[in-house]
Amino acid sequence: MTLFLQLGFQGIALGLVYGLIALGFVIMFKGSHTFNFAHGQFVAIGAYVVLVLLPRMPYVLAFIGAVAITVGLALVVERLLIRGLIGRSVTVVVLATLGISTMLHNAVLMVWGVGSHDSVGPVGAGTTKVGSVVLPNSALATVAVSVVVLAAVAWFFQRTRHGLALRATASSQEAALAQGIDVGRMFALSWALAAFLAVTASIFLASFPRVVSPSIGDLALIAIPAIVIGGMDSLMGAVVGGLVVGLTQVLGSNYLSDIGGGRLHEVLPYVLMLLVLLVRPYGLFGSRSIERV
Amino acid sequence: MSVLTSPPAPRDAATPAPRAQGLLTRGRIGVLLWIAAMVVLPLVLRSELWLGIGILTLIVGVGALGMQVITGLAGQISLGHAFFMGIGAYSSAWLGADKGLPWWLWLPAAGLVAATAGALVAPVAVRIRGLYLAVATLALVFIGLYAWETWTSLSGGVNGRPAAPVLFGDQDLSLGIMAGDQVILDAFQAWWYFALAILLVVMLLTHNLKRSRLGRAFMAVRDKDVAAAVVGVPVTQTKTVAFVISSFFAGISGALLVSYMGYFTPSQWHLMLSVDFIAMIVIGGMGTVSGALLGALFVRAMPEVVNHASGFLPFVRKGTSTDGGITGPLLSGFLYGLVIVLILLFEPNGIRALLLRAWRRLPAPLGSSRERRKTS
Amino acid sequence: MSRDASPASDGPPALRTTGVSAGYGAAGTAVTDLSLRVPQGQVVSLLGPNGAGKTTVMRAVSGLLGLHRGRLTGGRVELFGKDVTGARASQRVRAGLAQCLEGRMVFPGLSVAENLASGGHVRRYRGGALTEARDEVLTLLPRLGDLLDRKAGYLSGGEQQMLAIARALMSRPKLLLMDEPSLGLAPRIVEQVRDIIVSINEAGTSILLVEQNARMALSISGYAYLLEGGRVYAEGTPEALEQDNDIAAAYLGAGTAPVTPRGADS
Repeated sequence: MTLFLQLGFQGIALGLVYGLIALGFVIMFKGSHTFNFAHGQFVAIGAYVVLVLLPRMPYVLAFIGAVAITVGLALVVERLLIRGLIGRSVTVVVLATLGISTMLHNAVLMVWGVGSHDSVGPVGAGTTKVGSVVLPNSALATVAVSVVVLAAVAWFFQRTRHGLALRATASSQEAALAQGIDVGRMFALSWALAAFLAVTASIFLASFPRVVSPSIGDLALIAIPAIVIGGMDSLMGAVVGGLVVGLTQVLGSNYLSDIGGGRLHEVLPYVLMLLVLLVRPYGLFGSRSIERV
Repeated sequence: MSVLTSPPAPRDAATPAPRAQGLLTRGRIGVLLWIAAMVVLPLVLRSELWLGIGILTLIVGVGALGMQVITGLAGQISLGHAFFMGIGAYSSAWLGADKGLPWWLWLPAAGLVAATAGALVAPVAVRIRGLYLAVATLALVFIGLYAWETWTSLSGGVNGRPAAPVLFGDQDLSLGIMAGDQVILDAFQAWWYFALAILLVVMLLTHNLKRSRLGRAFMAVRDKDVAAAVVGVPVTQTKTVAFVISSFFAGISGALLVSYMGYFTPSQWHLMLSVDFIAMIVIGGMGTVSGALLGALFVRAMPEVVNHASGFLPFVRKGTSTDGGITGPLLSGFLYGLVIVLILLFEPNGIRALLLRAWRRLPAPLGSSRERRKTS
Repeated sequence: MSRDASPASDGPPALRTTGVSAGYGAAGTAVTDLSLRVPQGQVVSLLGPNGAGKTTVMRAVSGLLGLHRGRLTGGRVELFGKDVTGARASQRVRAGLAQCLEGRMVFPGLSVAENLASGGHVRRYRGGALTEARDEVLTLLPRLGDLLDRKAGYLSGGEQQMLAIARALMSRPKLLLMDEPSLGLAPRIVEQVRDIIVSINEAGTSILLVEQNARMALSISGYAYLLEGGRVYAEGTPEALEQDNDIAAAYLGAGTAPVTPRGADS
C-alpha cells in the first residue's frame, strides 16, 4: 500500500507535467487552430536554456530568462512560419509543424550536441516523509508549482479580458474580429502561453530522470495521448489526460515490469488513446464538432 | 451570404476529366520520355551518390504512391506509413531471409501482410478524421516501434537483422548480374532496373485506380464525406479500401527498402519516416502520380545533396556533434524542415505546380496547343 | 426615427464609401465601384438578391474581407469622416463601428454574460463599468437578463439574434452594421427585431441594414440602396423606390404576400 501511494504520487506529479505540456497543445490548437507537433521542441529548448543560464544566476531568474527566450522563439515561429498557413488543410498544417519540429530539433543538436547533461532541478534530491510514505521533494515541488500554474491559467481564461478574448477567438475567428478583438494578437498570445507552459513543464521533466538531453523533445510527444484521451479542445481534458498518462506510466513501469520487456508502460498511453478513440472519438471532455477539424 | 463569397465549387468529382485527343497526348509523351530517361540514366550516370539517391527514390516512390492514395486521393491524413512499411519489411525478411522464399513470393506477401494490418486498423481509422486520424496513426508508429524493439527473435532487437536478398537464379541483385564472367549490370544498375520495374507497375495501378470508379469515390470522400454519402458512395467501405491499398504499397516499399539496404534496425520505422512520406506528397503535389514521384526525389535527394555540399562549407565540421557544432547531417536536417515550411508557404501546390508553370512558359513543343489539363 | 429624404447634415456621415471595389481571389470582383452613404442618425438599408454583393459591402466596411480571402481592390471607406480604408477590424470597432454578422454567430460555448462581455472588448470595461454597460443594453433587450448564465449555444434562434444585437451594442457603437437580422426567424420575432432596430436608432445609433426582407427594411429606413451584380442598381427613399413600378415589381416583392422571412440563404 505504501508503495502504491508513493507511486501514485509520483504518477500524479509526472501527470501534471504532461498536463502542462498538453495544456499548451490545446491552447495553441484552440487559439490558432494549429496542432503544433513542434511543441515538444519548445519543451526541450526551455530545459536547455535553463541549464545554460543556471550557473550565472539564481534559479528563478534562469527560469524567467528561459521563459523569455522560449516565448520569443515561439512568437517568431508563429508569426513567420505558421500565420501564413492559417485556414489551410489539416495535412498542410500538420506537415508544417512537423517540419518546424525537425528544424528546431536539429538546431538544438547544433547548439547543445547529442550528449546529455546533468540537470539540477528547482529543488534538491531530498525526500519528505508523510506517515510511512516517502515522497521525493522534486515530486512535491512539481505538484505544488503545477497546481499553482494551472489555477493561474484557469483564472486567466475565466476572469480576464484577454482570456475571454482568447476563448472567443477559439470559438469563432470571424465573430471575434467583429467584436474588435485583434485575432492575430490572440494567435500570438496562445503561442506565448503555450511556450510558458512548456518551459514550466521542462524544468520538472528534466528533474524526473535528472538529465537534459535532446530526447526531451520526443518525450513531450507523450502529451499527445493525453490530449486525445482528454479531448483535443478541452483545457480540463488536457490536465485529466495528462494525469491518466502519468499514472499509467509510473504504475505500469512498476507493476508491469515482468511483461513485454519491462517497457510496456511506454506504449500503454498510446494503446489507451486508441481505445478512447474507438469508444469516444472526441475524447472524454472534448466537443463532438472537433472531429471535423 | 452572397454567392460570390463562397469559393468556386470544386469540379464534380464524378465527372470524368475530358480526355485529350489522340494517342500521343502531351501527358503520354511526358511519361514515355520519363521512362526512356529512367532506362538510360543508370547507363550514363557514373556517380554512386546519385545512383544511390535514384534507387532509393524509385523504392520510396512506391510508398509515396501509397501515401498519395490514402491522403492525396481519399483525403485521410495518415502518420502511420512508417508502421506499415515496417510490417512489410519484417514480413519480407522473415519469409525471404529466414524461410528462404524467392522474391516473387516475399515481395507480394510483404504487401499483403501490410494490407491486412491496414484492414485491421481500418475499423478505427474510418470512424475518425482529420487531426484525430493523424494522432491515431501516430500511435501506430509508437506501438510498432515498441513491438519491433521487443520482438527480438524477429527484429534482432536494437542491433537489427539482415533483410531478404533479391535472387535471380543464383545471382544476388546486390552483387550485380553476370553472364559467365561478363558483368551485364553492376549492382547499382541491377537494383535500379528492378526498382524501376516495380515502381512502373505500381504507377500504372495508381493511375488506373485514380481514373476508376473507386478512385472517383476516393475523391468524393476527400472533397466531402457527407455529400459523398448522399450521392451513394459508401464512405466507410471506400475509406477502408483506401487504407488497404495504401498499406499494400507501403509494405512493398518497406520490403524493397530493407532488401536494398541489406540490414535494418527497428529505429528506422520512426515517426520521421512517416513525416518524409507526407512531405513527399504535399511538397510534390497532392493527388497526382507525378507529384508523389517528384516529392520522393526531393525528400531523398535534398538532405543528401546538402549533406554532401556541406563538406565544402567552412563552418560545418566533420564527425558527430557531441556537445554542439554544425555538422552536415544536422544542417541538412534543419534545412529540410525549413524548406518544407517555405514550400508550404510560398508554393501551396507543390513542386509539380512549380514545374508545370515553368513548362508552360516554354514555347509549346510539337506545335500543340497549350494543354491546361493536369497530366499525371 | 428620421425618415426625411434629405439626411441630417450635422457633421460627417457615419459611413461613406467612395468607389469601393472588392473581390475574392480568383472568383473575381464581387462589388464594383460602390459609393454609399449613411448619414448620422439614420437607418439606411442595402437590398438586393442573393449574390448581389451585400455581405461583401459589409465586410469591406468592417474590415473582415481578409478573413474570407477577399481584398479591397479600389475605393475608400470613411467612418465619421475618418479614412479607415486600410485599417484593421479592431481599429474600426474602436472608431465606433459594431456589427451583427449574418447567421448571428454568437459564441456557442460561452455564456450569455460572456458573450456580452466579449462585445465590450475594445472598451476595456473594468469591474462595475461592465455591469453598467450590460444593464444599459439589457434595458433594450430585457429577455436576455434572465439568460445570463445560459450557454449561448442553447438559446433559440430568436434569442441568439437578440444576443448578437446586444453583444454588438456592448461597445456603445455610433454605427451598427446588421447583416440579415431577420433571417430564419418567425414572423413574430421579426417584428420584435424590427422594433429593437428602431429603438437602437432612436437612441442615436446610425444603422446600415442588409436585408432580403425588403419590406421590413424599407419600413424603417430613411434611405435605401438596391444592389444587383455588385453595383448600385437604384437608390432613393423608400417612397421613391416603391413608386418606381419596375423596381417595386422586381425587387421589393410589390403586391405579394406579407412579410415572410426567407428560409435558407446560400
